[in-house]
Amino acid sequence: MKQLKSNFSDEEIKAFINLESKPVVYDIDRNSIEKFSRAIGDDNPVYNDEIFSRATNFGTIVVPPTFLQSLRPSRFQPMFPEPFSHILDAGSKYNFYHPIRMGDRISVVKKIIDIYTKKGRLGTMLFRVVEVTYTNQLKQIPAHQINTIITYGLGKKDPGLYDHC
Amino acid sequence: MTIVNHLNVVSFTPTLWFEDVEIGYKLPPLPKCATKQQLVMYAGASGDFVPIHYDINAAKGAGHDEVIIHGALKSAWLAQMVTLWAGINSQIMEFEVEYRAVDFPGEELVCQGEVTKKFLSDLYGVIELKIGLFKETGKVSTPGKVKLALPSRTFHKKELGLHD
Repeated sequence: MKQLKSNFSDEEIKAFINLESKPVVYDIDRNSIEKFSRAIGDDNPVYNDEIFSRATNFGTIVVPPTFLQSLRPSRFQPMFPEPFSHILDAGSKYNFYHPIRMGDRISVVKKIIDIYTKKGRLGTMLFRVVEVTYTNQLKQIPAHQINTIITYGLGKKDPGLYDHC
Repeated sequence: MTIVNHLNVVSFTPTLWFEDVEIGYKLPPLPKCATKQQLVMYAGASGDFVPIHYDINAAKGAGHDEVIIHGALKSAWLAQMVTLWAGINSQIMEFEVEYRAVDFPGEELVCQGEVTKKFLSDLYGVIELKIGLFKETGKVSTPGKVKLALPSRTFHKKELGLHD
C-alpha cells in the first residue's frame, strides 16, 4: 500500500473508502460478558444471572448494548497507512436488530465508509468513519456500529493506534 | 431489584408500557464517578489500550491534566441508564453518542435522558430519547439520542384475544 505523508491530498485519502478488514470471530462466553458488565458498573442480572435470564424473553444471558465495543475488528487488509500519531474517539452510532446472547459466535468486519479532514485546535485532523458489521452463527446481522475516529499530530505514535489501522 | 425465590420465579423492573410514557418525561438520572481502577478494568474488558486512559504522561502529552475516561465507557453508562429504566421487555433499536468533551476520574458526572417523541410501529411502540452525560457545571460532555422499542398494550391485547 502507498505510504501516506501528513500533507496528503483529498484524493489520496478518499481512495481508502471501502477498505475492509478480514473477519475475526468471537465466541460470546459468560466470562467476557461478566467481565465487561462489571467494568462498566452495570449489575443488571440479564448480564450475569443465568437463572434470572432464563425467565426473560431472551431465554439466557445477553450482552450489554455497548459490549460490541469489546469485539474488536482486525486491522484493515492492507493496513491503513496512518499518517498521524494520536487518536481520539469522536462517537458511535449503533443499530440493533437482534439480541446477542451468551453462546453466540459473532464475526466482525470493519469498513471505511467515509474519510475527510478538518482544521482545528489540534492542527489537521483526519476523520475516519468506520462501519462495523456484526454477523452471528445464523448469518443474521444483530447489529451495526458506525464509529468516527480522529487522528492528529506527529511524533511518537500512540500505542493502540495501529489497532484502528 | 432482583427477586429470586425457591421456584426460580423472578422479577426485575415491571414492564414499562409504551402507553405509560409521556413526551417530556425525564428518566431517573444515573450518577457516575469513575476511579482510575475502573478505567483500567474497562481497558482490559474492552481491549482499548490507548494510553491516555491510564498513563498520566501520555494524557499530559495529549494536553490533558489527568487521564481521561474512555468515550465508550461513557456510552455504556448512558445505555445503562436507558435499560435500567426501560426494563427487560424493551429493546434499544438505535443508540448514538458524540464525545464532545473529555471527562476525568473523580468528576461527579450524571447521565440524564428525556422522552422527545413517541409513535406506534407495526408490532410495538417506539419512543425517542435525548440523552447526555453532564458535568457538575451542567455542561454536557457526551450528548446522544436513542430509539427504543417498548411493548404496547394495543398489540398485547390482540395477542391475548382481548377487546377494549
